[in-house]
Amino acid sequence: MMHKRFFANGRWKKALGVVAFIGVFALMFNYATWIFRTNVNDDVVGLENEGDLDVLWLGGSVAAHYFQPLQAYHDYGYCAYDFGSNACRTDFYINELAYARRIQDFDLYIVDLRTLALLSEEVRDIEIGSWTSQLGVFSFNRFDSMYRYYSKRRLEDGIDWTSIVFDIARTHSNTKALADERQWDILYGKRQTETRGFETAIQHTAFEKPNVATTERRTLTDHQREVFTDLLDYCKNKKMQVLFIVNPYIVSKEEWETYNSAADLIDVYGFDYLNTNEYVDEMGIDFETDFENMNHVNYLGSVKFHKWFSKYLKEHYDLPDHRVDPEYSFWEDDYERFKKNQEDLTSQITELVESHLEAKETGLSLSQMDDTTEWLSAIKNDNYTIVLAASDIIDDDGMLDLFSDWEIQPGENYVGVWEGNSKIYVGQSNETEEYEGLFSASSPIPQQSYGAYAGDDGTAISVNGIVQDLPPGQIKVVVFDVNYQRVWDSVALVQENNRGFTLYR
Amino acid sequence: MTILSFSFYLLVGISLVLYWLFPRQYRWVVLLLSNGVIAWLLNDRSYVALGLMYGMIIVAFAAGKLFDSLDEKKRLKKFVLIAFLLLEAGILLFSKDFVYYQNLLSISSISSRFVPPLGISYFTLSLIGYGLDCYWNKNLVEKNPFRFLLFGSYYPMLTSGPIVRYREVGNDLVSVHAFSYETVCFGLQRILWGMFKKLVLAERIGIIVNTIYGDPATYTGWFVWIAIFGFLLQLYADFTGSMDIIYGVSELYGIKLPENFDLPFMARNLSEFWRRWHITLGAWLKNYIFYPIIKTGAFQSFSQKTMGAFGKKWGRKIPVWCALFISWTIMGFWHGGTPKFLFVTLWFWFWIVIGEMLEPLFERVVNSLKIRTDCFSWHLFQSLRTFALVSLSAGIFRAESLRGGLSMYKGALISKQNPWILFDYDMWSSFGGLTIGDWFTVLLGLLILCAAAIIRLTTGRSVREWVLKQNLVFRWGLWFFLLFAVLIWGKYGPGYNTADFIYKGF
Repeated sequence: MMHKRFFANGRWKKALGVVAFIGVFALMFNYATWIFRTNVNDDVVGLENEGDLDVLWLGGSVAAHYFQPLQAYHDYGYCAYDFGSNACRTDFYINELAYARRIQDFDLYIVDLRTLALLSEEVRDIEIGSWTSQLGVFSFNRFDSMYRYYSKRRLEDGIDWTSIVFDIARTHSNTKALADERQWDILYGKRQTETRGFETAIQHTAFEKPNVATTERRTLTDHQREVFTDLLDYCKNKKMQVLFIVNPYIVSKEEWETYNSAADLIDVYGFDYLNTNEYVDEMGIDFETDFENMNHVNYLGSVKFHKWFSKYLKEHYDLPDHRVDPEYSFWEDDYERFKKNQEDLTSQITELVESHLEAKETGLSLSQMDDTTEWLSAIKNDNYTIVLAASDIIDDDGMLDLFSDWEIQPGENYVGVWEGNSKIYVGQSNETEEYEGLFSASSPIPQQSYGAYAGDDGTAISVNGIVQDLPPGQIKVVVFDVNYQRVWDSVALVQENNRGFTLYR
Repeated sequence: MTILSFSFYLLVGISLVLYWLFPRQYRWVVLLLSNGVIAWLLNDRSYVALGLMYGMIIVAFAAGKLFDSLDEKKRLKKFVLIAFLLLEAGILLFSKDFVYYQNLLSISSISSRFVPPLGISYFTLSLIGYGLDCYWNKNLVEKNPFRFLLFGSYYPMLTSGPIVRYREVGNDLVSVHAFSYETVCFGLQRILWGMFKKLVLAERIGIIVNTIYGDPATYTGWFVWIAIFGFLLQLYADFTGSMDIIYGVSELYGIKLPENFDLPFMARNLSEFWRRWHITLGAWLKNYIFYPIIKTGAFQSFSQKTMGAFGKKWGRKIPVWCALFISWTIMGFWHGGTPKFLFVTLWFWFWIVIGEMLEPLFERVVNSLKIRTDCFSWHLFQSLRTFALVSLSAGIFRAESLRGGLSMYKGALISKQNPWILFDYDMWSSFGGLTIGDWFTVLLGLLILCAAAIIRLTTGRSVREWVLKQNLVFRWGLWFFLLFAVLIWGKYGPGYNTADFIYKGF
């Protein structure tokens, strides 16, 4: 009866109209959201456009920086993919795996274990945002990611969860995205990575090798245990072959202990575990030259790691060799392009590291120099941050010409911070000048602080709260190397009557 | 939670589903329960504020019942009326004006802990109106306290009104509404239209206005005129935007509320402007302040005396102006009672009275100069003149204080004139963080507003009705355009601190 009335009085047309309107809106909403998403990672969405693969390396940014799939294909014939999503945490691994497995099954899943040690109970926008932005606007997997993330965290007031669910709320203001051709590519399924997810890091920061290897265990927090057990259960239920891995980085003892405890759990489930920090010497990794930052190797480091690990995979797992299959010949073509590009990048990173090593040598020699002119010339280096403070300097016979690059004027109080030739801050006047700041550091190295003061009563420069002061008429200079995160030298340049400046330490 | 937040619409959605699924006779009960939850959330989960609101409603309900039962006992009835008015109006004035006078007189902080319920200005006037109507036997007294509770706490009206009369709305709230596809569509469309006005237009104009008002020492001369004219446009888009959302939400339940605006910028004089702007407040003042004052014995005898002294024509007007003065003063107190608000409202009173006094002179000048008054250009001149007078008042309304507002005007008039700023495109292209795209959006938004007004004027029906008569592609195109305009160009989400509706505070 009801259905007759529904059809008789034309209500079905209205119902159809409503459904069609909602459908068109949903479609347009989906497109609009994708266009505004500026943090879409090609490594993730590009997987959808790949052919058959054998190995998937899953994790955060680490998964994109260590292993070179095209080189592995060229050397051993198996097809791998670096499936790294920036700032991704173990919370999302089940959803990442679900996403990847929806596209295809893999012979081997390599899972980055480092994010387990980074798990926190805080809600961090970057963690939830950078992963969920890779997924379909109305994807169940996306909503499940959110549920998984938020359900294990204590929500504080003021969390705008709606803007996570409908992420256009947080990206729509970036209307510049509309003018970016690349943003529209996503609509046509064009987003892809030519390197199979590998990203080259042409940066360098020097470190010392952390000697923290231990067999001790650190009890996993309830949060870590719950998240990790869920992941292990998932992998077991799906009958996956999984290798849990910890890549070389500036690891702490506490983290190493956490990995040991995780390894025990992994063993219970019958999966493989490998902490490659134990093999850094075998790989030939040099901590002074091979790191981009604390968490990632640079290209030089990735070459060394890759060489060791790609062989390890071939030796320990039964992976196919596709080099004989003509259908995979395009991998070799891609490899040729990759190789050519990497040659250029190798020379770039080598040049960069050499310049840093040179700056270090110069830095070490600074404290041996007594000649002011020689010292001032040596500190003019793009790798140094120079902090200067001067008060009441008299320019007799152009003695201040030595300092012209730093714009010091006679008779005034001066505070200046320079990174190479780039002016960070200069303040000079007859009044008291003060400035405080942080030396640059590649994340997540904690930044060191500095302060500079120049007044009628003299000058002072502090580094990490330790103050060195001087009476008026002198120039205080501190030389900091951003690549080594070290103060190479700290001097007082004292103006001697008509004899220029004398250098004191 | 505000009426702009997603969680509000989520709750409205849940409430609507329940409302329309429930048997017709119980739908108002769903609405009453929804009111409780949504009003509590709109009041930042304050039980005190919610309790105070319900307390004031119960007092009005009890007063109505008492007036009904005390019909024969005039003196007692009057005593109850005075007590009722003192209580309701007292709470309103305390909540709105006390902070100002407390600071002025340096009285220790009592009211700092007092958080008035949202919409107190609106529902209090509605409750007082109900009480007075019962007192004057103009109302059928409501016997069911829950139905009255629904009237007093109807959540769509808590943000910016309208101020309603029980006899106009009370029955509609509880009466049986059949589900209407068109009504629900109209409701959604009106919400969208309100969002467009608020998030796309008002918030953008607000950036210009805030930048200039935020630094009056730098922005003088022509900047001030831009700010005050801009503010009136912002206020219009903001206030009417909030009303559109409120009407839209109400329409989703099949309940129509009295309109608050009727193309106010078409008004040719200030009296007409106030018949088109915040209509329900004007009507309330007319019904419950102006007319009762005029009808008092004291005013009748005053009228006799003024007619004797100034003749019939002027003698009749003087008591009216006095009654208007009281009405406008009360409106000033309703807005906040500070010198700024009193100045703003009495400014209107002053110009209305001056206009009436000088009307014969104006007519003579117009006639002697042979100015045509039955043409578009004359009507345009009158509307622009009204717009300018209202803007001058709005300029003070927006300022931090009366002194601050007057000093801005001083900056506009005495400082060096700077008309060249109008042509300094480089400055405007980054003014207050606005881009060329933002200016284009503002311009487009204003054009759309004008187009909507023209459609209403020429067709005599609402824009939604006009759109409904168009072809499907045009209709859908229009609504999709508005939807995505709000989604993409709206000022909302993280990074934006979308200001509350300007009239939410009143």
